[in-house]
Amino acid sequence: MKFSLKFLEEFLNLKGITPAELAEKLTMAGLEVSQVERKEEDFVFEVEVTPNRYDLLSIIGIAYEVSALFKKKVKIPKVNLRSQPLLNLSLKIENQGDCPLYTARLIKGVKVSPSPGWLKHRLTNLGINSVNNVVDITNYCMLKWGQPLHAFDFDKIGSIISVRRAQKGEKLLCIDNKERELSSEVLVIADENKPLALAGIIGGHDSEVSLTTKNILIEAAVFSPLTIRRGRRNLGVESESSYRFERGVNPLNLEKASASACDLILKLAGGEFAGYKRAGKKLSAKPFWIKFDIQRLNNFLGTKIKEKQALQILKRLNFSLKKKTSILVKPPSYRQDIKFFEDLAEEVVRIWGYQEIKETLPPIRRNLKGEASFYKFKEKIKDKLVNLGFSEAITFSIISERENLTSYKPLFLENPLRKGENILRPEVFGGLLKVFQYNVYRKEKELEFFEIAESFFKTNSGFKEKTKLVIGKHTQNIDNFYYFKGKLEVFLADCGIKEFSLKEGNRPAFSDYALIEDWGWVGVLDKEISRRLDLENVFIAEFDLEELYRRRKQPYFEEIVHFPWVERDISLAKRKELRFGEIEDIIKTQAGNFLKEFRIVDIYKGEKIPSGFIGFTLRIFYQHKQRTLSSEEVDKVHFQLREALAQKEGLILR
Amino acid sequence: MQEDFQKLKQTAERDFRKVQTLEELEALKVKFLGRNSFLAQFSKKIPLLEPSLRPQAGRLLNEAKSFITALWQERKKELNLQQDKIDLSFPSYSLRRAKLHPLTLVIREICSIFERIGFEIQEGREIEDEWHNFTALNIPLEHPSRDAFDTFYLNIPSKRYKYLLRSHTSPSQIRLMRKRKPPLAFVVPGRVYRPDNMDASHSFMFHQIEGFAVDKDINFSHLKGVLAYFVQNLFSSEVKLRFRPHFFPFTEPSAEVDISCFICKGKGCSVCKKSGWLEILGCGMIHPEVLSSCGISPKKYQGFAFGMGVERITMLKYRINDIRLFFENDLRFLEQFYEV
Ligand SMILES: [Zn+2]
Repeated sequence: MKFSLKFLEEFLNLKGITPAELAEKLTMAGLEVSQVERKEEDFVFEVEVTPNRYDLLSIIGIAYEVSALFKKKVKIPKVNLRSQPLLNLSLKIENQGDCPLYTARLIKGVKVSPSPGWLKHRLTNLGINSVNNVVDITNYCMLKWGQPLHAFDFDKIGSIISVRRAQKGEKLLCIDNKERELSSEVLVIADENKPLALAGIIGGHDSEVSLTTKNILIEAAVFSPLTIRRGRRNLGVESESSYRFERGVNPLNLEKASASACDLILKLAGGEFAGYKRAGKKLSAKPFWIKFDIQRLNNFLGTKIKEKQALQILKRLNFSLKKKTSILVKPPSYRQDIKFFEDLAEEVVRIWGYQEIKETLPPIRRNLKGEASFYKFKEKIKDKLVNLGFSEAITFSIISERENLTSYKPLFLENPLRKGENILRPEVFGGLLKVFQYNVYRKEKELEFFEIAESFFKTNSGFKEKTKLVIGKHTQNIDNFYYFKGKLEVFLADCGIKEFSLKEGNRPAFSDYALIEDWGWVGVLDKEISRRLDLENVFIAEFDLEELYRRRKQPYFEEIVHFPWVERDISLAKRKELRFGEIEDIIKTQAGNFLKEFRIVDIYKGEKIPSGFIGFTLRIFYQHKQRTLSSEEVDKVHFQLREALAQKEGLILR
Repeated sequence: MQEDFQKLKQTAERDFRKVQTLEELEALKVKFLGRNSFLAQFSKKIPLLEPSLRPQAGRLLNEAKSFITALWQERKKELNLQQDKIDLSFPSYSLRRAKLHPLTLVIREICSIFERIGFEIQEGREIEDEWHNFTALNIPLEHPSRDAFDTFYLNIPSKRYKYLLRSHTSPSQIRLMRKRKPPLAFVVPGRVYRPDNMDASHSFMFHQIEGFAVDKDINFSHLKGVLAYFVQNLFSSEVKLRFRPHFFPFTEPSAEVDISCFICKGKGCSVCKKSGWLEILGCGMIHPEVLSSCGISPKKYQGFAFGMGVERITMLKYRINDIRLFFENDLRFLEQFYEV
C-alpha cells in the first residue's frame, strides 16, 4: 500500500514533520514504511499494512494513525449523503452471505474527459493509471476512504441488476481486455442478460466508462471477504479492490465514499444527480466495550504506565471512555480488529513505545519431568558419526516419484511446487546419492556422509512418519566396504548394540543387501544405477533411529582380562559363494572359551588364488579368562581348527 | 715434546671441526686414537724414555687422549643432532575432518543458550493437521493473514482436518501446551516447508526454532529480556535490539525484532540494506485464543512466544550469501564451519 504526503495533507496539517520522521514514527508504531520516494513536489510512502489493519488501506485511516502519533487533528470534509430521488432500477442480491449490501447512485449527463493534473498526480503517484475523470474519481475515493467503487456506463447495462454467482460456462471480457471463463466460485454483477463485472475484483469491458459515456451508475457494495478471496484465487487475478474486500471494508465509509465520489463527479464532469437505490441490510459496526484495567495491563507488559497516560493514548486513537465502577473503553468504528483486553494493551504500548519496555530476565519456571530427550540422543549420534569420519548432510524431504527406490507407498503432495517434486521420501538415503553425485562432479571421490531426517509413507490405516538415520560411503575401491562395515559396528557398539544379526536378501537397486535385525539395513548400490548417476561404489546403511533410541544402553564395566594372549595366523582361500558366517561358526565351535577374537589381516586376489576364490589371512587371538594358556594348549586347539577348516567344502588352506 | 703435543691438539681440533659425516668422524677417530696413531705409537715409546721424563710424557699423553676423545664425542653429538633435525616448514600431509552441518551448529548453539536459562528442548512431527498448524493458532483457514503461511497439503484422506507439511514450528507449541501443564518453557527446532520457489533467500524447506514460556506472571518485559540475552550470546554483547509492533494471529501484542547490524555497526551496509538494522525474528505475548484452545485459562496464565528462521540467522552469523548452499552439501562449503 502506498500513500503520499500531499494526499495525507488533505486531512491534517503536517507542518514541521519531515518525511523521515514520519516514516520512523509509523514504523515504530507498527506500520512499517519500507520506502520513501520523492516524486516532484510530493513524497510517496510504501507501507506494509498487516492483515488485521484494513483501516490503514485508506488515506483517511492513515491520517487517523498519524494524528494519534503526532497529536494532530484530522479534518474530514463533510459529505452530502444525497439519497433522493429513489432510483428506478431493480437491484437483486441472490445471497446476502456473498453481498450483504449493494448501493447504486446514478448521475446523468456527465462529460467524461481527462482528469485535472492534481487528480492525475494523486493516482499516478500511488501507482494507479489515470483513465478519465470519472474512473479516476472512483479510484481516488477508494484510496481516500478504503471503500472500492465501480462506475458503469448506464446506457450499456440492462434494467435489472443482480449480484449472483456466475454460471458455469459464462464468460466475461474484463477491462484488462482478457476474457475469463467463470465458475460458480465467482461472484458477478449481472443484468438480465449477462455478467457485467466480477464483483469486487474487476469491471467488464463492455460496460466500462469511456469518453462517450453520458450517464453513469456508481456502485458501492460490501462483499464477503471469503467469496472475493475464493473468486480471485479461482481466476488468478488480483486488484486494489479485491485486496481491500478480502481484508474487510468499513461499512460506515461506504455511503461517504459513494456520495463523495458523486460530489466530485458533479464538480469535475458536470451532470445531474438522478437517484439512489440500496439493496441488502443496513450495516453498522457493533459497539463493544472492553474493561480497562491499568494494573492488569502493567502486569501483562511488565511496565509502569500511569492510568492517565494510557487513557490519553486511547483517546488519541479515538477510543471512547466510560467510567462506571470500572473503566470501559470502546474502539472507534473503523477498528473492528480490537476485541480483547490484550488488543488494548497493544494499542497503548505501541503508541507509548515498545522501546520504553525494560528488558528483564525472568526466573523461568517449568514443570520438570525426567524425560529422556530424543533430541539430545540425535545430537550425540551426530557427534559419534562425525568422529568416525562422516560429515553431516541436510537434503530435501520432498522428492520426485521417480526417485523413490523403495517399495513403500509414498505420500503425495496435493500442490507440488514442480511436477518433479511431488512425494515425501519413504526412506532417506536417496538424498545422500545426490550429495555423492554433487561432490563427485567436483572431483571428490572418497566421500562419507550421514543424515538424520524424517521419512514418510502410507499405511493401511493412514500414514507414518519415522525418524531415520542414513550413513553412506562413496569410494573407488569396493573392498573399502569392510572399512565401512567396521565403522558401522563401532558406531552401533557405541550405541550399546554389540551383537546383531545380518540377514542377506535381495532388494531392487542393490547388488548386495542385508537386513540388520528389524531396525536397519545395509547394502551396496547396484552398479548399473551407480553408473547412471556417474558414481562408483556406493555403500548405504539406513536405521530406524527411534528403534536405536529405544535400544540404547549405558555401558557396564567388564573385568579386564590380564592373562596374556597368543596370536596364530591361518591363510585361507574361500569360494566366493561361501558366506563367512559359516567359517565364523567353525572358529567359534573349535576355539571355544580359548577364543578372544579374530580378525582379517589381509585380503588378496592374486595369481596364486584359484579363480572364483578370495584369499585372506585370518588372525586368531587365543586367551583364557581365568589362566595363562600354555603354547601346547594353543597349538592343539589351533591344529584342530585348521583341520576343521580344511574339511570345509569351498575352503582351501594355503 | 710439549710442542709436538700442542700441535697435535691444534690439528685435531681443526680436523674434527671440518668433518661433516659420521663415517668421516670415525675415520678421524682412528687416525688420532687408533692403533697406528701418533698417540698409540708414543705410548709404546714411553718405557724407553729416561725415568725422569716418563711422568711428564705420561701426563701429556693422557691429556691429549682425553682432549681428542672429548673432541670426538662433542662432534659426534653435533652430527647426530644434525641428522635427526627435520624441516618444520615442510608441507604437512593434508588431513580432512568430517563436519557437522552449519545449521546443526547454529541450532545447537541457539538451543543451548535457551537451555541455560531454563528452557527445555523438544521436537514435533513434520506432518501436521490444519487444526494444529492454523486453527488452534488463531489463523482462520481462509483469510489474508494466512497468505504468509502458504502450505504444502498432503493427499491423505481424512474426515476431520486436512493433513499438511507444517509451515512453521508453532504447531509444536500447541501440542506441548496441551500435553504439559504450566509453568512451561520450551524451545522447538525443526524443519518446516512452504511452497516457495528456490532462490538466494528462499527455499521450500527450511528450519525454524520456536520458543515459548507460560506462567502466571510472564510478561512482555521478560520477553524482551530473554531475547536480548539470546541475541547477545549468539552474536555479541554489543548488539542492540529493536522491537517493532507487528501483527501475528497467534500473539498479541506482537513484535518484529531487529538487531543492530553487527557488520557495519549500524552505519549501513549492503547486508542491512543501509538501514543499520537486521530483522531476525517475530514474537509476542501468546494470544488469549491460543491459550484457550490449549485448555490454559488466559485469566490465570500468560506467556510469550517467539519464532526464528535458522537459515537466516546462520547466514547472518557466518555471512553466507545464498540459502541454496545449505542443501547442496558441497564439502568445500561444509568444511568451513566449526563450533567456537
Ligand atoms: Zn549493516
